[in-house]
Amino acid sequence: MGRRSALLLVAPAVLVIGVFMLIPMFIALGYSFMTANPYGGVQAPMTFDAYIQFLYQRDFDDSMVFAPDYIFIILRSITLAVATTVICLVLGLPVAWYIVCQNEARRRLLLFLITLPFWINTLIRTYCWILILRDEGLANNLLRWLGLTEKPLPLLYTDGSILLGLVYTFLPFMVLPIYSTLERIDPRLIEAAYDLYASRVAVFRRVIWPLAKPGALAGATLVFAPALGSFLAPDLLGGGKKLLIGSLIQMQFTSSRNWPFGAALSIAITAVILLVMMLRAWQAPRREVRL
Amino acid sequence: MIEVQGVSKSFATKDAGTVAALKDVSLEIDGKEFFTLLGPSGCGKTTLLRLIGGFEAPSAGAIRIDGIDVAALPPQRRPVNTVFQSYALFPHMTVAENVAFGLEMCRWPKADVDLRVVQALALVRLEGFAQRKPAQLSGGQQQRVALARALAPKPKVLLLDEPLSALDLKLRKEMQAELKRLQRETAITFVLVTHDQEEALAMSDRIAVMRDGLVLQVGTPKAIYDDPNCRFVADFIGEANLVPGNILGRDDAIFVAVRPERVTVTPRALINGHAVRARGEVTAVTFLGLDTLYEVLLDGVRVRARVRDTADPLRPGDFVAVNWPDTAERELRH
Repeated sequence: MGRRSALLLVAPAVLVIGVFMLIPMFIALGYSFMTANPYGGVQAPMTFDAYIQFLYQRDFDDSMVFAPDYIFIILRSITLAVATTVICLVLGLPVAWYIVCQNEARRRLLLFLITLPFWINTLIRTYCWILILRDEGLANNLLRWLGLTEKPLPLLYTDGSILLGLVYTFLPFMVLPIYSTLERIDPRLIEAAYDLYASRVAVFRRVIWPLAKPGALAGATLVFAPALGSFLAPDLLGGGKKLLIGSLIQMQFTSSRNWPFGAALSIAITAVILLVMMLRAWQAPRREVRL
Repeated sequence: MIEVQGVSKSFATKDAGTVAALKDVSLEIDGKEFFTLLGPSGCGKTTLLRLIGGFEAPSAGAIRIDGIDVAALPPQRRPVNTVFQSYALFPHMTVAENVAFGLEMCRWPKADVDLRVVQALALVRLEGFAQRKPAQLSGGQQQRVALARALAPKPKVLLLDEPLSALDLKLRKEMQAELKRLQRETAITFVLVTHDQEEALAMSDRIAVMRDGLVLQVGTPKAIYDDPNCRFVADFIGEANLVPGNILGRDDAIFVAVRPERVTVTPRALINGHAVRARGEVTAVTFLGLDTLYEVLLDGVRVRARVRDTADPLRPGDFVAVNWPDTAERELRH
């Protein structure tokens, strides 16, 4: 392939990433250094106010006090995103393995079922969880009908319901990449491992997992990044009682009309995600040397 | 050593039927023997190998290794290692890690593992490749790693599933000699699966010729070559002229098999009243280097003769007398 045709082939991807990812990111970066317009949008002059607001609180006497509230929100969001990623991995790996072990026709059906939720709007699907989890919802009615509880359990508006919503929304993004790596594993490798006296656990630990790891890492990235910024599940299933970073950012652009602060918060979580990705990139070559 | 007793295996087909891959097969493989399962594709030879390895369970019958019924044992509990057709090397491990895998699974002490890995790599002449990844090796080298990995845990039986089929001709010849040497040096029972009759003849102590899920004949290469017990074996192992005939005074049709190299061809001018088995016309001449292959049409029967002395070659259209000694004939009833 010539250099020209190679350039032509990557051009659409570069264009899409440039126009829809990089340019908005730089706009956000620029907005984060502007002054808020009380009617929405931004205006001159340039200032660091947004970042100062992120770290400090202005006291009555106009002195600045370090206030970690927003950092705690970010930490809480990271914790929830990490928990979502881990749960998706633990659930997704066996599901992907199960699908790989089926015959061609069943595999196609199961993959279709995995992608089926994408056909319905996330907002609607998240609302459905409210119907299931609320005090008079399906879950509580069932529990009472079975006689397991007398009073309805507080299922909705908890960290657990947020986590449930996040796992539910992002599980397919974990299953699909893991499936695609597992599918490429030559079944003879597994037979060879058994032939060489490996137990089931050893076959998984020494052969399947190392070969599935690239898919799991891709899945983890695909789940962690959007889970960190997600605001639908925290708002609807968390009741907006405890703020998460995604809802906080969304608020800045709507009710609070503080676009620069919203932009600064976005930059902050982008930095967190970039940091995680860089850790991964830095670890990859090291792993290569060790093997 | 290995007893296969009345083993059948059928697989479910897509349309809910079953297909029999093995039909009541019985075999005995001796200790330290180089035993070959030979047959065309679909004859059940690989299925039989996979049953011995434990990757499939027989539908009926028993398999005993060293007198122990292994039917209920999974592959990891059989003293058997396999060299797979595609090698099945672990791509994420180095050559040394691949070879060490079986030993680590058997919980050998670390020092013994290291020593055995060096030994096994020396055995297949791959010293100096220990730290490479499989993808960095040629097909022949990968083949050797697969051998070293399977031999390292000192199994009682080594199963080889068409191990040479992916190699080019020259390398294949080299590896044939190499496999034979390995089998002598390690004194392990080798069970080889192949569809290549030359390979089978060159390497085996004994051969089982298979077809359609049945074992047709078991014997030494020489016995099978000299004394095939049916038309299929005669034709599949080496070349054979199959001349239809009758036993005098009886009705049943038989075939007489004669190896082409036992057939002599005499030009008409040189017959001089000698006893002649048949006369015919040369229809094709193929020069094979050392030999020349003549095809002679006798009364509607085509007979091939592989002749060494070609000082005065015959040409298509020449009339010749064809002869073979009685001892070269084998009567085959089916």
